[in-house]
Amino acid sequence: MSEHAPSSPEKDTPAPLWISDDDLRGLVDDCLRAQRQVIAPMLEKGAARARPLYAPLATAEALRLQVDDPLPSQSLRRHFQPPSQALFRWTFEKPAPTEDQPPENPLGKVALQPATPAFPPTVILGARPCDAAALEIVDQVMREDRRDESWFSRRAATVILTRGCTWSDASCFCTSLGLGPDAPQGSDLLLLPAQGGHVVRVLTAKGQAFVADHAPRFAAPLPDHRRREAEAALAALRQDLENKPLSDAVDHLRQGLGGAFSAAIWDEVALRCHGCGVCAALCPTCYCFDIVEEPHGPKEGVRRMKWDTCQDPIFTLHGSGHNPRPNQSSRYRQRVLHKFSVYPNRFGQVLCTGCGRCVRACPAGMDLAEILLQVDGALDHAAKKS
Amino acid sequence: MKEIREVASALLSGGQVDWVLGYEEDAKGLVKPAFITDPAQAARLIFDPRCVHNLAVYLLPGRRHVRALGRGALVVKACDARAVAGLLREHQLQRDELVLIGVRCGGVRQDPGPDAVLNEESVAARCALCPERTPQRVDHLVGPELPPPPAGNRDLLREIAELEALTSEARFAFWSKHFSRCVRCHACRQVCPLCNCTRCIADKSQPQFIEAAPHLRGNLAWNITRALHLAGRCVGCGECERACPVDIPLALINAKLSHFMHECYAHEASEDPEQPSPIGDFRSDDDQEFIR
Amino acid sequence: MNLYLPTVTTITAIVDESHDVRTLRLVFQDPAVAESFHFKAGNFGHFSAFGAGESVFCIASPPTRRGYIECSFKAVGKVTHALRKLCIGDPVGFRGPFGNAFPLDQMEGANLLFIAGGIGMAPVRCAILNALDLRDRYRDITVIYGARTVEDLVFKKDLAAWAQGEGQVKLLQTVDPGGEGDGWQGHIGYVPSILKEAAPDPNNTHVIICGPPVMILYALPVLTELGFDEEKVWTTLENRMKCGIGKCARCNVGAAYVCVDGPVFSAAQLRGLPADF
Repeated sequence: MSEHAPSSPEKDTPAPLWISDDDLRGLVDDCLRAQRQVIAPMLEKGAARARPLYAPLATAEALRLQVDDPLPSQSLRRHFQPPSQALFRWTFEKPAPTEDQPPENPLGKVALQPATPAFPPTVILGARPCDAAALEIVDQVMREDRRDESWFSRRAATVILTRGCTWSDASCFCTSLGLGPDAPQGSDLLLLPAQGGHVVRVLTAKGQAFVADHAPRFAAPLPDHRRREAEAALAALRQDLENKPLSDAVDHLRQGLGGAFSAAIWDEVALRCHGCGVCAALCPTCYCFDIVEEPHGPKEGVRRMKWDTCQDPIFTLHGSGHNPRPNQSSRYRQRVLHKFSVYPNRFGQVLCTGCGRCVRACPAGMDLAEILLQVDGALDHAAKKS
Repeated sequence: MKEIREVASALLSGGQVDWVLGYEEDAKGLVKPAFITDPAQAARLIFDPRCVHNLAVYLLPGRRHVRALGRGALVVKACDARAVAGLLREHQLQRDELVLIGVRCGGVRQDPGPDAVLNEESVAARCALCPERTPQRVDHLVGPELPPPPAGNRDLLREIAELEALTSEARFAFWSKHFSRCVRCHACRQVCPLCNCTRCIADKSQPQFIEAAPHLRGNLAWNITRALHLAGRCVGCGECERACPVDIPLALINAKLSHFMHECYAHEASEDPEQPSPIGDFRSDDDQEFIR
Repeated sequence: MNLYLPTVTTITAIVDESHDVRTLRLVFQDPAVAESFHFKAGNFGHFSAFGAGESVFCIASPPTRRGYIECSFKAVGKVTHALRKLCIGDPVGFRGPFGNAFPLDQMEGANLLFIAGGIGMAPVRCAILNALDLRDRYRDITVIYGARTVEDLVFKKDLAAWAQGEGQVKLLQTVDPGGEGDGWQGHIGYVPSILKEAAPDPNNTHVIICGPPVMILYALPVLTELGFDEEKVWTTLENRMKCGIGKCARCNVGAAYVCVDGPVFSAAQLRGLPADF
């Protein structure tokens, strides 16, 4: 089973396992001692708000196993596409001046040294299913035509253990994107919380190998009532999250671009939008980047890749001064249509997992789910008119 | 609440304005900015402790699609009115371009809902530093007199004092830890009514004043530059910190610099648009002694 | 990071096409790259001035002439100003070739009509020279080229050669009203008007047209009026680009990525794209 192909849990699935909370902390210990980075939801001290975020664990004790923790405020993006990444270093080797040197003094030779990113083997423990599923969706653009080795080498070096959701809020809408509280996409091992431990679903060959490497931790028999308890909780949550009008709106948008692009609704929708890019900064499926030059003096410097967002006013600014997206209305439209029409058109998958971060974090109260319904409503209206 | 609706409705039906920007709540109980253009829509307007947003930011000249709506009225708390004064002071708009509907405030929450209760746990830390909760220079003043906000669990002045008690190495380590998370989304800038440069220094490439990449060095340059550019101009609305997706405690920096401007220049951003601004005004008789 | 690592070229010649357009001739430093480098007319590359950054230009020299590539640009920003400061012997980075190409092989046996405005002549010139290097594969070749003033006409050397009859090219040059100066023998008028006056025969003719957006806006309807098949009219789109390889999600026009599905589009394809450019 390829590690990067979408998982299909139906055929040949290994039987579920059990890991107690103690064994889970022990597992963290094992990984840390084996120099494996363990990233899990944690609380940052002194931050403006106490929200969990995915960060490296220093000790097994720091592992949070709360069932009512909200979604970590940031996605897993920064662990696979760092906000700032060196691409290469350039160094000018100016030749010594000679008598016949032209008056303008050419720069001489330049040497380029590609960056060799270093990152430790990593276990992500307790990722939300929506965050893991996002990685498989972005894999598509990263592998198309020319493979981004920086992305895939980090993917290869990481084992992902997702934790089935026991918390959701009104901003979650993963089920409208074909996902859910126990979605297997992007996950190697899915841990479903139950009293005293987790039911473990082994989803990929990588997950299987991880279990084999830590066999004693997964050796305890699975108590059947715990499995039923976990699955009942999931079913209840899944039902809570169901939203047929929204699922329909998503389907309509992925089918076509024409009507949606010219809909006058975008001016109204974007009136409140600050173009602040918080939605993109937190989004698990956003991957837009910029390439910037960073000279360190006249002789050398580093070229870097850095996060960018289509919400930035200068994202599409031409050298001539022309900007095809000169206002927030056109930029917000791009965000929605890129995710819900353009990306699925190219890659077959919507570039969204319904995690709801954009809705929760937006300082202006832009609610993507509401906006999708609004746009869908406008489309039906236009179709009826014509 | 009723008063706001009445004023808004009257302004729209009387043709004095084309739009009113206030607050409304959505189906989830979250409050958000509301643009209304018809008197019938005035019934949507509310005001309660969930009304945290600083609506003055929508008056910035760059918000062309707001300007395109025509002449407008803005619902403002006192902090928002001080931001409008800042824009007037810096000639970003004319006073007769807009109508201000001032609302008396008793403090707001840290979040726009869905809960509307104001207590020591929910109150925004910045409200404790508010010098004046009743907007002064507005066209309409509505709302009852409200008691002062409860003392919050988070005390900005105490946190600032704790930071000042640290060695500079320890303080630098504190800020480095927070700024390392910055991803340079510039939300802090986008939501700030006083970040009104037509072209932000961070976006300039000739020369590149501030390194664009979100590594610590670039992030320090950005955040410190923005803080200094706001010194004496920031009205303490807290929107930057509320917007920050990675929870950098920006309120501490801005509050500290406001305090500094008060101590050293006896200056506090007020509702008076004629009030001189320490970094905004240049006079030929400015004290030059510190330049050696 | 191989995807974004440029190969290094050396500037071997500099031509000032006009007061603000400069052409650089570049030779690959790595002999293996020089040996194996191939591209097609219409492709573009990312050109680096190390220390300033990368800028995207079409490759302005034809693929039929090996051993060097050329790019032509105006200094409008940080990178192009830095490129303009470089001298012969200085290094320029190159990533490419990227994008699709003018389907010149589809055009064999047909007449070719090239229309260009201003610096839009750069990708067109590449295609013209490519066709001229394989002259017997094509029938009549007509070039309509205009710029604001006489001084702004670029690739003057090529224009002079074609005016002399080289390549059996029918050349119509024009400048905007007021741009003619003394001694101008060519036409006076905007390119779309000159096109309309010239009324070239649409039968068995492919069109390649590049220039400022306003020129394209007015010229395409003229071509339709004259009876040209919009599936045989080819133009290029541009956009702000960074990666050039469809990864950074910046240059899309609706569902089309300019760097991967373009920059060459037919007028028929263009009609199907939203006004996102």
